[in-house]
Amino acid sequence: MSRVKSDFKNKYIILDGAMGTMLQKSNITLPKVPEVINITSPEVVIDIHKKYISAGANIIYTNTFGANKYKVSECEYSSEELVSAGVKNALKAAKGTDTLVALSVGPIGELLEPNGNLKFEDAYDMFKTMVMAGYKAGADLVVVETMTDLLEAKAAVLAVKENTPLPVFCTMTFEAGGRTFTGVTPACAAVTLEGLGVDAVGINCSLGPDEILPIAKEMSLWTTLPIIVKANAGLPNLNSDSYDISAEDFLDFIKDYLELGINIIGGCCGTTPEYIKLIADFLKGKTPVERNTKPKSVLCSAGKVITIDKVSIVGERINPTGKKLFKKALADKNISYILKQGIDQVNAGADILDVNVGLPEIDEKEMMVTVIKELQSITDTPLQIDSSNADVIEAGLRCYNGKAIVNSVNGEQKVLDTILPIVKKYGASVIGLTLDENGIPNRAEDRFEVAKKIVTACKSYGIDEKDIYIDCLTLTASVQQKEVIETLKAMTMVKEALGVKTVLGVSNISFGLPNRELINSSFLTLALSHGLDLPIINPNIRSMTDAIDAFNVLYNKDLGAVKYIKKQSETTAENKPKATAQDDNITLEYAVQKGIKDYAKECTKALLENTDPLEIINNILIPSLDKVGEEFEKGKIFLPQLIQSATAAQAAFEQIKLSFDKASGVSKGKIILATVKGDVHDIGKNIVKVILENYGYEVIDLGKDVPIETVVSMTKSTGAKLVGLSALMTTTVVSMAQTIKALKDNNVDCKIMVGGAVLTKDYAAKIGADFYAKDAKQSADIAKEVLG
Amino acid sequence: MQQILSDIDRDEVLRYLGYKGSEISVELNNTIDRCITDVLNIAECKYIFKCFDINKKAQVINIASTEVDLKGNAIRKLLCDCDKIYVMCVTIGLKIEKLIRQKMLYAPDEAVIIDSCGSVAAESLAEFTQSLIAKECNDKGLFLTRRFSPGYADLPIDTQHDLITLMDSYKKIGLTLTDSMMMTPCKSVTAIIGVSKTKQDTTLNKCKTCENRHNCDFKRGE
Repeated sequence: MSRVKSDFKNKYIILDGAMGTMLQKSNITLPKVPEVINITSPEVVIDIHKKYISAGANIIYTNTFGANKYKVSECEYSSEELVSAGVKNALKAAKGTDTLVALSVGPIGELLEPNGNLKFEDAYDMFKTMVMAGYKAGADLVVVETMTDLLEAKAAVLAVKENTPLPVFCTMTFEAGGRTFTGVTPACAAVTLEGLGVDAVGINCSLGPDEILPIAKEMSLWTTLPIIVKANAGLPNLNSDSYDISAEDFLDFIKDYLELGINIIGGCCGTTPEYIKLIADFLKGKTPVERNTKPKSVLCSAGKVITIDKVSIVGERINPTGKKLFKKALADKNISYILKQGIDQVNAGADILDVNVGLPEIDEKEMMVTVIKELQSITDTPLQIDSSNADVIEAGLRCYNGKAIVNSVNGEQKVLDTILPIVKKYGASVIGLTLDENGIPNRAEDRFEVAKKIVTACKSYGIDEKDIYIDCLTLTASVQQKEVIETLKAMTMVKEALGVKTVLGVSNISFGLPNRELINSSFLTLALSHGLDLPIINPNIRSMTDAIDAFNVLYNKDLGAVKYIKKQSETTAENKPKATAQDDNITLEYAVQKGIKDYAKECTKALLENTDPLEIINNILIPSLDKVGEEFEKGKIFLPQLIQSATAAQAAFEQIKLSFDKASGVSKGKIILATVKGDVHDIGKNIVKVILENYGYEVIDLGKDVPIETVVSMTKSTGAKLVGLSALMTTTVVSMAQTIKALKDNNVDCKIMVGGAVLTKDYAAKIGADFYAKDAKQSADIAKEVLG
Repeated sequence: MQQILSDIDRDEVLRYLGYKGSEISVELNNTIDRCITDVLNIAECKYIFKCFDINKKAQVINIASTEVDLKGNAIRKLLCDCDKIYVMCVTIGLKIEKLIRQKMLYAPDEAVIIDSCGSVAAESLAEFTQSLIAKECNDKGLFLTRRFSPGYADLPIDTQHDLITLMDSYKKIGLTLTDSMMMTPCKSVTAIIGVSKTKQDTTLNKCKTCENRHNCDFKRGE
């Protein structure tokens, strides 16, 4: 059992210095996998540990940094063997001392999705193997270190917490610009890791103590946890592996950290026992400065943190309720439609995006995970995970990179007992609805009582007030007019008496009334003045965001009305009368050929008044696109122009679809597109998609790195008669060939077209493809041949 | 580090986009300029390089005191006058990838332009890094061969993994590989450059010797 009592506050804790630097100095030849020496030359490792212990280290790190399954595949030992030997060496060195042994866990060495193609659960499994071996061998705690990806750090921390009782530290490595390679900020790291329940957070490697100081200062503002700093001995010369700060200078720099209240200190690359001894001697008998970081309500992704100290907009549009097209997109797994809803709201000013993908006929859990991953690959906006199903919430929180908010729990004890432990485990915030098994109380006082019950329950599960948001529930004014004021009253009571934040879905207020926008924006203003922090609205509706902007001016939040004035003046510029297609005498043919989206939309609208939709498609749109395609082939226009024409045609198609009852009325056939297994370069496939969609085909885009089985099963289930596969490299053309073989072996009735940089017509034929598409235009020609 | 890349060669961007000399509207020209500026702003240019001795063995060229072997006739031919090489790794970072994914949703024309700008930027960064190496060598009276990357001609693509491990590029500049040998970030270059005592012919048009030259729309002019 661990000798640690999880008390890392109120005293200085000295960590060791570099292992790698010392190994290089020891003159032994380092194998490809440096952890192998734990077994081949244990005495060298033990000797280094001993030097750090006698220098005064309270905690030593095992020589197991890269002993994960991915990295050790190049040696004859397993991850468990190397970890176990590493821990035993450290324990041997520490025997008879108070020094603790920390299992060092570094990054896998391959990037997680979406930057690479390593799956979260695969990373988790590799970390799990390491920490279980380390725990079994007797490590006192675990340090997850030198992380650049917050999601990878999360996988490692979860692996520790779910499989061992050991305390866990986590340090990330930042660039001089203050972010990690993958764009993580110190604030996001601190907030997320504190939420996950680590015992200390901090910074190690990459930079010297001088450069890390501002980063450590920033981090200290966002967490009450003890902070760890393990700096390099100055800046590394990337080309010679040397460092430029002496032990004495290092100590001088470290002194600046003490004022910040940083209390866990060691050294990273380039530091030696000499550095650690000077620090340990200097800190002997001293007590750390107390930090007075105030807890605050925050949400974050890996790259963006928002503090809920002013009104923040939650975008409500990622939700199928009452939306035909959204439901169809969910059923068809049309993820880009959903992503587009997200990015449009972000561009319109949403600070947080609500994500609700519940639909009876789909697998909500799988869809939640997909949508969260994909949204996080395109935006840094924090997400609100909206579901009533505990499994869906947990799956969403698990893959979410950052600190999310869960929508929602209510006053029902069973719901509280099911969902709050999950919220706590993943360090999320939570919304509590003021209703229970008896429904929504009419009186403000009764809703307040439910809120109080929720807050008490949250606290009993260790969820802090700062992470609780109460929703006093909007009722419909046309049905329960008298109760509207109760919502507002309850909100004020909650805010004042419970000290938590408030959230409210606003749009329900106006059901059944004319000019809903007026009622919505008026109610929003009232709610804001009664203490609403997070309005859940459609940010694409200007009157709603305007109401918030005005509120921020009138309540002295938008100081000097700077934001308000800027936005209003931009709007005046935008609203200048624009030339219309009609003014310029522009036809739909011209708009498509020149790729002018707005004109294409306008012309189509005008045409639809007196022309049959199919006639527009067959007599104008398709011939125009054909002409564009011809010009592309002849080199008269090039790729961006081809895409602009396609986008203009898409705007026209969208207008036509609106005039049809059935959204699928104009589909010319289904096409499956996928970038094959192992391949993450999908830009070519995405271009093909844009073009095919604008020729009126229904494209089912399976994304990148698509498993062979998925291509087979989706082609079967959708009945698509054409499959397009892309692969960029010789290494992934292999899996293209396997995918084609699987489609044929399963007798899937479809034609297959392929494309990609290294393919040729002959090679395509050799691997069994029916067609080779040199470019996007050719893919449209092939679609025409196969589907008409 | 942003100053490393002061501009992105517009003609090269157009070449990657398959441009054959047609008319470009004012709007599209402005869009291209804006994309170039965006990429210059978000590129996080990082590079490393290091010199190694090489041992020429019967079948392979071994990078001295490492387990890395360079295979194939092409690399042997390139290094025929050399007893040292430089290995270099450069990347413009991950930010551009998020931007491309985002733009693909609502402005796919800009997404492809940004993608091309990224490729040109990575290539320019490789040029810049090579110029630093050239300076280091020219001062000693040595000359460089042209850059040669894993996957060129018959140098196996797996060499990528060896070079990236050898250079510790993940830790130093954030450059690593997927299990199918794709570089992450994608806008990155790894390469080997030979060092020789005699002046090397580096004027060669890369496209002329490329094995894919009969199947490529993006060939440079003569």
